[in-house]
This record gives sequence, C-alpha cells and structure tokens, in this order.
Amino acid sequence: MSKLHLKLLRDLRSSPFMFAGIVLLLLVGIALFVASYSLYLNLEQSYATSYRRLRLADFTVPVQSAPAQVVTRLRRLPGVREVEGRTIREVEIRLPTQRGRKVTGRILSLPESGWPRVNSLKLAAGAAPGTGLQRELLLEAGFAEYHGYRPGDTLNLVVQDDPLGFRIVGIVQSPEYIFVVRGREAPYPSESTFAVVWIREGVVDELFGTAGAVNDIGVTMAPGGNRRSAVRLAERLLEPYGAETAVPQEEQPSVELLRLDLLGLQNLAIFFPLLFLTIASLSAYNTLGRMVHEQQGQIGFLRAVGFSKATVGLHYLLYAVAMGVLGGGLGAGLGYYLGILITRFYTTQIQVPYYDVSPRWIVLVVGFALAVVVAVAASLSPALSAARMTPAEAISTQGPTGGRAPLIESWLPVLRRLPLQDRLPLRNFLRNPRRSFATVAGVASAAMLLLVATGLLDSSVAAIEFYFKSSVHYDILATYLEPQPQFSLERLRRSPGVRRVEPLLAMPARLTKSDQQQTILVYGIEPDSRLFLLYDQRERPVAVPPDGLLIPESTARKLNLWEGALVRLGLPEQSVPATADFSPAVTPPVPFLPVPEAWQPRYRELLFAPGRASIKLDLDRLIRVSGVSYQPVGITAYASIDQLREWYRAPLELPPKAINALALTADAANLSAIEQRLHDLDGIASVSVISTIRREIDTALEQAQVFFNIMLAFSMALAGIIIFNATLMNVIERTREISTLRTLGLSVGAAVRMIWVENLLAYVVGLLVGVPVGTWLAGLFILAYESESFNMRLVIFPHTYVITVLSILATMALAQLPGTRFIRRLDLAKATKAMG
Amino acid sequence: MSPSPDQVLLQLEGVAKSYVMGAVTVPALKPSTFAVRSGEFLMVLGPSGSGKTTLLNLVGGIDTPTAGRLLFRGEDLAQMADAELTSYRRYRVGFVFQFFNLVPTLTALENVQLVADLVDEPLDALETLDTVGLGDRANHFPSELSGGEQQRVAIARAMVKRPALLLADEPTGNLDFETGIRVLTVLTDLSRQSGTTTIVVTHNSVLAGIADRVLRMRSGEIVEVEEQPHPISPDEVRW
Repeated sequence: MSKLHLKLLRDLRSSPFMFAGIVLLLLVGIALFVASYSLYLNLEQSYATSYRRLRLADFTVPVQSAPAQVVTRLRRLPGVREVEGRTIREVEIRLPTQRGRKVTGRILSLPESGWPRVNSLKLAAGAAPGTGLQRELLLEAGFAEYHGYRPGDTLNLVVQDDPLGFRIVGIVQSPEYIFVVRGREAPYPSESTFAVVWIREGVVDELFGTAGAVNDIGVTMAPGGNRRSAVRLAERLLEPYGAETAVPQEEQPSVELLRLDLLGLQNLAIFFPLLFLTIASLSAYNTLGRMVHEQQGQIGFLRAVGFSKATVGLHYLLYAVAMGVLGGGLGAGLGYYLGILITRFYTTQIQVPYYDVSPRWIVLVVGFALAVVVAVAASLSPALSAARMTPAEAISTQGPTGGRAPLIESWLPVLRRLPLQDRLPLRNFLRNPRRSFATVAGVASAAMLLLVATGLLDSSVAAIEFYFKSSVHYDILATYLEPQPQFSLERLRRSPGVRRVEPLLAMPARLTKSDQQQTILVYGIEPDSRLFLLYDQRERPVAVPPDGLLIPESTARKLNLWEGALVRLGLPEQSVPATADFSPAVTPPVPFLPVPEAWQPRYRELLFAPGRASIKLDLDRLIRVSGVSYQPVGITAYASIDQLREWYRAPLELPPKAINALALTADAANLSAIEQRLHDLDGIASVSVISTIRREIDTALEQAQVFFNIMLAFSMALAGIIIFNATLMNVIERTREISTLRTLGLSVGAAVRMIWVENLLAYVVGLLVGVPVGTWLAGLFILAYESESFNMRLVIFPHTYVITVLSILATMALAQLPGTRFIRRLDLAKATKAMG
Repeated sequence: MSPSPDQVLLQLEGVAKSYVMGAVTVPALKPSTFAVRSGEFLMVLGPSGSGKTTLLNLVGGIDTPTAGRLLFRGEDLAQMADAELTSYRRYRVGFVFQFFNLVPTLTALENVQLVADLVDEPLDALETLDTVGLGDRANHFPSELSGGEQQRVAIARAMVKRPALLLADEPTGNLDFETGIRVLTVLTDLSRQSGTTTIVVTHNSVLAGIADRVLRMRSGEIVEVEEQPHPISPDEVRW
C-alpha cells in the first residue's frame, strides 16, 4: 500500500465520527432510493405481468344489450386478437354478520366452460364453477379475505328482492380488480363493501333473463394491431346496441388508480432520497473542505517533495470515493432488503395476481454509482483547491485572518459596549465564512429534514381536521335506496333527540370542457345549510350558489375552469357506476396507511333499480361555474338542491322535491337510538355515524403516527449527526485559539460559553434558513403526493415548528458535550505550541 | 548562593515530568530542584528536546508534574485542581508564545483588553500597548501587523494584568534577528521596570547575556546554572 493511501486510512481513522456521519447520510439516501425505486419497479412489473398473463382487455365497450353473436363479428376486425362478451349486473349482498351494512355485489358472467379469453382470472383457492346451472360463484380475493370467506361458504345475493344462496367454489384474483374499486369516481379500496363475483353465464341469464345477450365487451389486440382504428370500428359496429364510449385499458379504474399511485410513488422514490443525498453532499463538501484547510501544511509538503497536482487532488478525492463506496454499497444492500419488506407491506392492501419481485440490479447499480458520484462531485472543489495550492503558499505558517471589524458593530453601537468575551463569538462567526457556512448548512439541513418528515403528517391531520371540524357538521348521514320526496323527512324531524335534519340530493355527473371531462358527484344542499359548510380556495366560508355549480379545485385545474366559466353537465357513462358515494369521502392522504373500513364509501343504487340500468338517459346542458371550493379529499361539486332537482328531474323522472339522502344532528344521548331507527326504516341504504368514522380515522392516524415517528426519529438522528459533526469540527479547528485563551486564564466555563454562543449564532442563522426552505421542500413533497382525489395543502402546525426548533437546540446542547469535554481536556502545552 | 526564602517566588523540589507513549515512558524532565527568585530575569537555554519547554509549561501551570513539588509562594501547583490552576494562570502568570497566538478577530488593543478584563486591577490596555511602542497601531488587527508587532502586542497582553511571573517560550523564534532584538528589548525593559519575574526559554545561546541567570538544560536535566551579575542590554547582543 502506498504511503499516501496509508495516510488516507489513518486520516479516516482519526476522525471516524465525521466520516461515519457522511457515510450514514449516503447510506440512508441510497437505501431509500433503492428501496422505493425497487418497490416502484416491482409493482409496475407485477401489474404488467398480471395484465399480460390474464389478458386484460386493451379496451372495453359497454353496451346496453347486444346479441352474443356480435362477438364473432368483432373478432374479424383488423388487429383484434380476442373478443369476449359478458353480462355485468349489480345486486345487493346480504352478509349475516354485518347488521345494517349493505354490500354491493357486481356479477360478471363467465363463459359456459373454462376461463374467459379476455380479462381472465387467477384461481387463488378452490376450483372453477361447474358447467351446469348450479348456484356457484367465484369470489374476488380482497372481499373474501376481508370477510373471511373460503371455498365452500355461501354468499347471499339479493336478486329482485329474493336472497339467493350461492356456494363459493373458488377465490380469484382479477387484473380488473387489483385495486378493488367500483369506479373511477370512488378511488378508494372498497373490498369491505364491494364484492365482485363471477358466475357461469347460463346461471346469470337465468337470473336476469339475459340469454343470448351481453352488455360488456372486452377486446385484446394482436401485437402491432391498431387499437385506435379497432376502437372506432367496434364503436360503430356496436352503436345499434347502445354502445357507450369505449374505455381504453389505461382508463380502466383499477389500472388508472394503480398508475396514479405508481406515479406518486415514483415521485417519492426520487424526491426523498434526493433530499438525503443533497444533505450528504453538503456534508461531504464541508468535511473535505475542512480537511484540506487543516492539512494545508501537509499539502505544501507533499507538493514540495514532488507529488504532482493530480496526485494530491486524487488523494483527497479518494476520501470521497471511500465514503461513496461504503455509503453506496451498504445503502444498496440495505435498500434491497428494505425494498422487499416494503413491497410485501405495500401489497397487503391490493390483490396482485402475479408478483414479479426480484432484485432490481440496475437500481442497485445506479444507487451505488449515485453515492459515489454524489460524494465525488461534492468533494471536487476542495480536492481541486488542494491540488492547486503552491507549495510555498501551503507550507508557510498561516498568518491571522479576518482582520476587520464586522459591519454589524458599526450598525449596532451597543455591541461595542459588550465585554470582549461576548463580542468574540460574533466576530468568530463572521470571520470564517467556510466554517460558519458548514455549521449553518448542517443546522439548516437538519431543520429541512425534520420539517419534510413532519409536514406530510401535519398536512394529513389538518386535512382531516378541516373535513370534520369545518366541513361536516352533521352527526349522521343516511342514504335512500331510491329517491324520495322531501316530506319523508318530517317524521324524522319530530323524533326525540333530533336537533336538525337537512335534505340532500346526490347525483353523479360528467363535466366536460373542450376535450377534457371528469366524472364527479354533485351534492344538492339547502342554500342555508348548517350541516354542510363550504369554503373557497382561501378557506373562507362560502354559501352554496342559488344557481350554477361550485366545483372543487382539482376539477377546476383539470378542466381549466374558473368562476363564471361554462361547463357541460351530463350523466357519466355506464363504464363508471351511475351511483354515488355517500360516506364522508376521507381517505387518509398518507402513505402506507391502512384504510379502515368505515372510511370506505358505501354505494347504493341511487338511480337505477336492477334491470333499469340499460335505460339511456339524456342530460346535456351548459351550466355556469359559480365558484371553486377547497376540499382536501374527494371530488364533490355543490349546487343548491332546487337547482340540482331542476337539472335532473326530467331525465331521471325524479319525484317532486326529490332527495336521496339526509343529514342530521342529534343529542348525544339519542344518537344510538336514532341510528337504529334509521337502520330499521324501509328504503334506507346506509347509515354513517360521523363519530364512529372519526374514531376509526383516529385509530388509523395513530398507526400512521408510528410510521412518522420512526421517520422523525430517523431524521432527528441524522440531524444529530450533522449538528454533532459541525459543532465538534468547530471546536477542533480552533484548538489553538481556545488553548491560548485558556492559558491566558480564561476559565473552562468562559471558554465553553464562548463556543456555545458562537455555535448558537450559527444555529439561529441555520434555523432562519432551514425553516423556510424546509417548509418549501415540505410543500414540494406534498405536491408529489397530490392526485385528483387528494388535494392536501401544506400545513405545518406552530407546535411542529416549535418542536423542530427545540429538537435542534436540544441536539445542539447534546452536541456541545463532546466539545465541552474536548475543551476541558485540552492539552494547553501542546495546543499553544502548535502552528496556526 | 541559594536565595533566602523571602526572595523565592518559585521553588521546584524534585519536579519531574514523563509522558507515556504507548508502552514507552519518555522522561521529558528528570527530577529537578531549583528556585526562581522574585524579580529576576531567567533565561532557560538548551537544544530541542532538552526539557526547557516542559519546565516552562510546568511553571506556567499548563502542565502538571508527575513527581515532586512545585511551590509558587509556598503553594504547590502539583496539588492544585484545574480551577485553581486557571486562577493561578489568570492572576499570577503572563504568557508570550512563539507564534504570538493573538486572537485574529480582535484588534491589538482588544487583544490586550481581553486579558485585562480577566483581572481586577489591570494596567491600562492602551498605555501598555503604548509602552511596547504600538500605541499608534492599537486599532489594527493582527493580520495588519508585522510579526514583531504581533509579538509586542502579545507581550503587552501578558503584562497588562500585572503578572508576578512572565513566561516567554521562544519569543523570538519566529522573528528575524533585528525584530527579535526589538522584542527582547521591550521584554527586558518591561520586566525590569515592573520588577516582574521573567523566564525566557530559548535555544539561541547568544541571548544568554541579557539574563540575570542562565539555566542550561540537556536531555531533560538542568546541567548548569550560571549567575550573570552584569547582564547586557539586548541591543548589545551580537550574533
């Protein structure tokens, strides 16, 4: 080993904590990158494999009713590989153990024998249904798992008011329901209240009288087939049978939601590691900079005895390479295992038929290379400055630097009246920009880390608080199976304990502007509603408009709408359920948070009784946007209830003064009795009690809190390393100066106090920089998580700022301890003799 | 001729210092007995590694002996706690270092004032600076001063607190001859005018003539003590 390399090793050994600190930062950054990007790739590949192996339709055309033979004609279209027609119906499912909870079942017909050629299934347990007319079905795995169903159990489907028992013969996973959602407008996992079942088509035809007809046609394309042309031809061919607009694979609800989820994950997989790596590079830059500064004499010697500039420069770059190799190697290894763990945890919420989880070597290699590149890039400037030093300049005793009074003493004459021991820290802070910058940057980085980690949690809590404290002021929300006249509320109003009852009409809608459209739920509420409070984008209360539509921010952005703009209102295609979500649509906008059952939307057939679903309804009118509202979660537009009735009355043949839900407040003592009474009422579809939902949300938030506390602890530990390094370096670099003062009679306490004050100055400046930048970064982090349905705003509570600042100051106090110990144990004799 | 007890400022009785370097114990100062008289100008001479700086550090209270007693006006420095040693250095000792060790962010005057603030009855900082011939450079920062000027500030800084003992470790070691002589002149003048006991450590034997006594060291031992009843002035020193 060359002596220079030996020097490198010994230098590393002489300051192991600083070296380890940077290695740890790199390690965390790379581990996060490798883990999260591997997760992203694992999921993406698993989905793609599942779609391919189970032949997910390249596009689907919903029709009102088409003869089954049309499939044969469709197969002849150019570029088409396979076509399959099926019947889809929705029914109610009665669960014996779930009193009061109505579950929606979606029946999909299976071919008479074998598996579908399009949108096939993976059998997770049991067997395929027999080919006869037995009442057998296959149950989607998410629902089965949630409710504990196994092959051999019975499921009761209510078909035309008759509960029919079906034997579950198999549990299956479907490429269409990896993310079990009922439609694009309800982007929440709903395996508890939404069951998908597959039944042989003979049985389906017998139940619904649909023999020889299909209402949903899935098409797969041959390699190289022109899908656009096939879609056009298929739509034309199916037009006589009430064809809706074809749904391409990428707009299939599960596919689209998984893609959005992947997109958010990809953002996180890049953004968060980037933050760690940036901080690591800053630390590497500072440490190398200090090292070069300290070893100026050695550099001078090396150059004087004949080492070339390149050798000297490379020698210092090797430190960076060592840090990068160690941090990158360990980080990639840790990230690999973390990736497997996180993938396992992440996929507990979804049903993936085929997993493609494997070591993502390219990610490992990129992660490792990234660590080396980051470390080397950060160290380039100090290494170059070492290489460029002339021997004479480097070897000479460095004279004193910083020979001028700081301007601040001219601006604030009071400073000049302070004892010199108190003025020294300020001057020292200003005298050495490099050293001060290192400490300030360390503290600022720590503040950024903490704020980014806490920002997401605070924003989630704030969004939920906003929903429950500001928006929702009812205790119970109940939905009807069929639209009712409003006077049906009168009896309820007179019930004991009921304080206020308000009518609600909720209608699905499709908003179209130019070539953009969005499916949305419109709530019709009373103009003087006290149970539904609305807010504008600046979170100021706003009344429901007497005419026009108050749309959420996300819709305004997507369709490029503004107050006063016109938008086309229509009914959504049948490809999305023509029903509404009536539960408070709060899904925890935090990653990895399990979604409790009560958050999940409950759907009811609001508009269409089974068998009426194929009626073509016509609603198409231009309406005015009366304002844009702030809603942290969900996409709901608001209109006055009378206005909504006017829009929907004719096309849907609504009764006069129609409502299809109600909201009420009641005395706490009577709440339970009222809930029971509502359950017992005929025609009630679902009853949601806000306090129950809130409890479940709080429980889920507690779980999330654990996740964030771990993240916070992690960030604090890293912040500690950064501050510790910066502080200790600050003391070590000034050994001679402190020793001189100690030799001249300055007590340990006074010397420590001086260093403390100086560090405190750096911390204050670091916090002044780190807090706003950290807040800004937290905002970016929130943006990375934003989707159509989650419209969180960055909120960082004042107490979070206080905790962040106090944590950093506490870390600072701890970080002083080794410095203080160092000062106490200074060898004055040796240190005062040392050259500058 | 041994000094009478009331003349003794500092008494070394078998004082020794050794350092443990791994498995090896290196004696830096072998057991030494010696007295420093009040008001004398003592020069400690010896080559590198002779133990002179160790001796100075022990006397200055920035190092503690491994054996023996080191009495300052009857109080044993070897038995003092760290706080007592700090107090000893603060009120009794003035230091002048080879590399000046000025605080770079303080002006010449502020450097002197900083130390003056540590004691109850210091000299006037500006006057002291004036005494070393730097009254007109009072507001200059160390980076704006020459080496000699910096060392004179260091002397003023050491003297401003009226120390009983002034210790200078190679005060001219980092200066050219002419400047060194100027610094020594200041040092001896101040020392003699104020009656401050002064110990100067140097390896430069031509300076020996300016001291009242010369203590020669070799290999950690005091090998010779030479009285000089008629010391010369620094400007009479010839190389």
